[in-house]
Amino acid sequence: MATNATETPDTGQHLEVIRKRKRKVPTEVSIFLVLVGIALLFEALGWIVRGDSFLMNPSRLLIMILQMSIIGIIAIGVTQIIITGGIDLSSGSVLALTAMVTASLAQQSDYVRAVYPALTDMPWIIPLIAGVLVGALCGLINGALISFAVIPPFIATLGMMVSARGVARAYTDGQPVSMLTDQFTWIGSGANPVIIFLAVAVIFHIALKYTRYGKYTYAIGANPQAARVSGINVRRHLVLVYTIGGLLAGLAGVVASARAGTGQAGMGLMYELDAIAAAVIGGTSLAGGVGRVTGTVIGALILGVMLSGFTFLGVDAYYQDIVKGAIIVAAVVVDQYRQRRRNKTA
Amino acid sequence: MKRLLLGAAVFATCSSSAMAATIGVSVAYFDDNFLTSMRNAMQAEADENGHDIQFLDAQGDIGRQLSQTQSLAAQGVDAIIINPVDTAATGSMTDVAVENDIPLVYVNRQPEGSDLDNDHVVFVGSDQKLSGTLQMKALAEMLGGEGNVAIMLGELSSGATHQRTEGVKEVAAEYPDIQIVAEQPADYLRTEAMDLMNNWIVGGQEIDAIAANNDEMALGTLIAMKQSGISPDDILVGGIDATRDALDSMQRGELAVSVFQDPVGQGGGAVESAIGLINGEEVENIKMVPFQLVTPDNLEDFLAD
Amino acid sequence: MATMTAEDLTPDIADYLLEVVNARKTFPGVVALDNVQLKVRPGTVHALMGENGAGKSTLMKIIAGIYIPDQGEVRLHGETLTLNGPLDALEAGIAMIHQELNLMPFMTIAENIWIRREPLNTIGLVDHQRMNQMTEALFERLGIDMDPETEVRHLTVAGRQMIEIAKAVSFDSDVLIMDEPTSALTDREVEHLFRIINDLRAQGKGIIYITHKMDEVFEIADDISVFRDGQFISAAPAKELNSDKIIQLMVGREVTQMFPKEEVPIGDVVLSVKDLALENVFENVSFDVRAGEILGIAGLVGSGRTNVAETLFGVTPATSGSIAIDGQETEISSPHQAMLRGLALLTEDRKETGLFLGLSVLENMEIAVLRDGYTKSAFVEQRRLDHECDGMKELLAVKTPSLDERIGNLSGGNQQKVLIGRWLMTNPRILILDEPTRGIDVGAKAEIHKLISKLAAKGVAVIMISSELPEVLGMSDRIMVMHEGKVTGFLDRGDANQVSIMELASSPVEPPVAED
Repeated sequence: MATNATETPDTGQHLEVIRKRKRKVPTEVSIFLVLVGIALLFEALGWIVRGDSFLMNPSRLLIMILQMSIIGIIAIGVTQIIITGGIDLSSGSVLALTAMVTASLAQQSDYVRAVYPALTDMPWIIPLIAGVLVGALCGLINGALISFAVIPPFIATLGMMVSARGVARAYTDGQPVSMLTDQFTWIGSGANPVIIFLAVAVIFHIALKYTRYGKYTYAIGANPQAARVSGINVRRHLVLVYTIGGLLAGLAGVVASARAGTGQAGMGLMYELDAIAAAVIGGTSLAGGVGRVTGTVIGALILGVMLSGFTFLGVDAYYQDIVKGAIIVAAVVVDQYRQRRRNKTA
Repeated sequence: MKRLLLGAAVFATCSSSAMAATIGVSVAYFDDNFLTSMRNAMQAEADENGHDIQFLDAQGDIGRQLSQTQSLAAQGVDAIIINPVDTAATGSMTDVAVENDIPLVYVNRQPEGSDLDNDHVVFVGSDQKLSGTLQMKALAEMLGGEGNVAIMLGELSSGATHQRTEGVKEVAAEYPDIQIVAEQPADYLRTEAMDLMNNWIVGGQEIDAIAANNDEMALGTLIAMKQSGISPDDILVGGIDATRDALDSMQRGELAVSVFQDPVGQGGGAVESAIGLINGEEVENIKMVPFQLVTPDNLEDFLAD
Repeated sequence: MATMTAEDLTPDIADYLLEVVNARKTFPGVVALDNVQLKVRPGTVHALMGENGAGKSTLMKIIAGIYIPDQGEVRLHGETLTLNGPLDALEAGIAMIHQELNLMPFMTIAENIWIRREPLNTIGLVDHQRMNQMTEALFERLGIDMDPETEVRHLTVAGRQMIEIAKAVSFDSDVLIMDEPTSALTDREVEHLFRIINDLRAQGKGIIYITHKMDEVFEIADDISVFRDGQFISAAPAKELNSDKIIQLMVGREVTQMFPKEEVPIGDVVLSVKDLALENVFENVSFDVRAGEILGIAGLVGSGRTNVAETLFGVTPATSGSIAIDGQETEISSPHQAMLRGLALLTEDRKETGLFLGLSVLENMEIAVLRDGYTKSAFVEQRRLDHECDGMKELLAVKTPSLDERIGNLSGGNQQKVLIGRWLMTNPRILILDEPTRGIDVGAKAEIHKLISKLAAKGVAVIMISSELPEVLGMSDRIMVMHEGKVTGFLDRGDANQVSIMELASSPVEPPVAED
């Protein structure tokens, strides 16, 4: 009996080898294929319905990204928040607030109704910094409420969502803030929002992958208790993550006000949900610990392609929303499926 | 912020006045620029006559607006002014006012039901369809009676969107050489309009004029055109509301047409009617505040204020 | 070369209560079970033994109807069963007590036991009175003393375990499956459980019992089946086996030395704890640990052992008392502070407080050293880290296809090695190990023991908490015993045995003797 036992090879090793062989396709690649699939579908429909190419038009390709740039900037901030296992519902409202503040500091001097007549014709950097700081402050409050008052992220950011919108309205009694300087509106002109979006994406791709900041973010999302025991100051890190999320919403507010040449309290309505949708479609798991900036960028592009595609085909907005909703749900179903598989192998 | 403090101070002095009537107002959206002007006109009118006025934001939610009406009634205000979220669903709010014997003024958007048949329920506003008619008539003349027109729609759930669009289409139908080539929503928002216009531009469809359901969308359209190097002379853009930004744009030679919907006339008129009802005076059942077409020719008249 | 088969089991008893024949089950990429058989006689306790991943749990789940086998069949009383779900098995007379507890915390004990089978009164409402009476009757039979109306959330883990057992018994099943039922129980509770099991055995039921604990097997089991790597290895009556033989069968090789404790010179006092207390949890804890020394901490679950470890590491900072390192009094109010002072803590609950299950082996290993090393400005020096982690992987013989493998795909023993690696990378001077070998298989256990010895030999001061007395006895230079938040005594390696430890661990009578 004993001899038999000693002669049996260690098949434990064998099992591991089998597992290794069926390496999965990275999430981003499969989402990218979805993006390509949707684009090709519109291409085909384009020839059928309009007798014209959907994709062979460089301007349209730019517009697809352009119209998602502002939501995309928010989505990157939201992605890192979702990776920690949290959520940010306040980004759309924070965008509105920062757009108001930024616009009020970027007005032309020959405009008689300027909010701050003494502070007109200022160099573009001042409204930009002010907007980003206001956004960061909102994020800091979110983070502090979550970390130190131990309020669930959903509730804390819900509160911020309502309050920031209220402050945005109170700021000028709901009046729009217009007549912005040319050097400021240049920030949002042409392809500049795309450049800003992609620059933010690259920075955060690197930050999440190659810095301590990123590694801690994933660790906290994967297991906050283990992160704490591993010497990570979880509270402080969460405050930082939410502050950066707010900062990016603030940057989005700056770009939005520069692009539209105005600051209005009604801006960015429901953007938080589009941003969350972009992250989720891009493979970020609401359970935390999983997600990539590249995925979120592709997720935002999917939304952009659909927006352009439906307009191109002249389809009513109603149907567009139906399809968008279905894609979001499908993305979450896929996420759940992945999670279940993960748990099974664990 | 200064304005906010000022407002609070005014409010404080008002509430100390003993003779004041109290008016409760539920507005469909606080965010809407036109409605904000109207709200300010109401405030001014009430301040001038020493009445208390309280504004509530229905946030585009008909259920919320009904509860606001109920709580205003329970609070015992002397009159209620409602800017309805949904013109087809005003019946229950009218019932609340009638049951509690509180005068009710609908403002800006006219109820579609038989609400106004009740005593002490009146409407002050403008015929939304007329604004579309005025806008398209002016554009058609500028186009010389021929060309391709795209309609940029507001929120599809809003009654004004449909009424304004109906006006535009009726006029367009009178011109055999004018075609409606596209019709898509941009939700009354500037940024959404920029994205929609960008997509129309790359779509390659020949467009000679844009009839936008409001000025914000018209301004977004113009920004998109500017960034694509399209002159406002090549594509005429028309808006509605004659907001401050729109007038500025027209002054720069960009916006071709707007239609002035009189927020002061409507807001002030609504408060006036409410006070009339409180005092038991005879009040017009439907008070139409006229629209005025704004073109570069008469722009000066509107810039003055 | 003749392999023992199930036929060798007392062949005169032809009637098996439960038989599993030629079961095969594959998961994508893995053959979990192949050609497995099991024969359970009525009125016996049949223990299943094997390392983690041997296929015991998969086999159990097939019998309980949770997995459907690719091949093979399950027979009860000689009749083949068609099991398409757990309910089918339950109706056929097979009940399973899961390792993870599945009770609803906000419902009462009685409601949990009779869920979906509630007695109804004449108008169709739940008859709570009768349900409570039924529960009391059941408890009386099992010797459980609990109020049926208590909400389950108020119960201890052991209490919940008892309810799960009572629930399974309440189905009056012929076969009861117990998957490591004693893992959270104290010795007294284990005794109670065994009384219940003996009772059920006397009634002719068959009990399938999965465990890692050797002593339990010989106390309770009639027959033993051993599995390895998804294969059935052998089955025999318990009295024909001993623990060495079983271990050989389980690991497929001889494990020469279970506790390779090296005698090393003991150095100076590194850590000195005086009157440490955490309000309402433990108090008056004082001890010293020297370089090269292994201090074992023994005590029952709930004695405060783990809390002491967590307090030393700053997870739950002390409410009073002092900690001195190298004679220097110091304050430790967060894990990071503890790490700066040269401490490391391998936590008790691998899944809850140790692993980042969704992340890779590398990401799990590197996390503790990112803060105070391996970073240049904000960036992580990934190449250096990869190299270090790879070295650690080799040193600890972690079995993984690569460092990028998700740690959830590794076996428990390998996961534990990665966590130990995480802490070794911090070069700790004081290493606290809380249940370092819980739930991992015999082979990996021995490797970890060897490693602990080696670390001590290098001059690391080691504190090792363990529920397994042989482990504490085999590894420690000195043993501190705790009971209900107090230190009840210290034993030197020479004086310690199972009896002396258990006496201190179960009775608060002995005054704490702080000796050195």
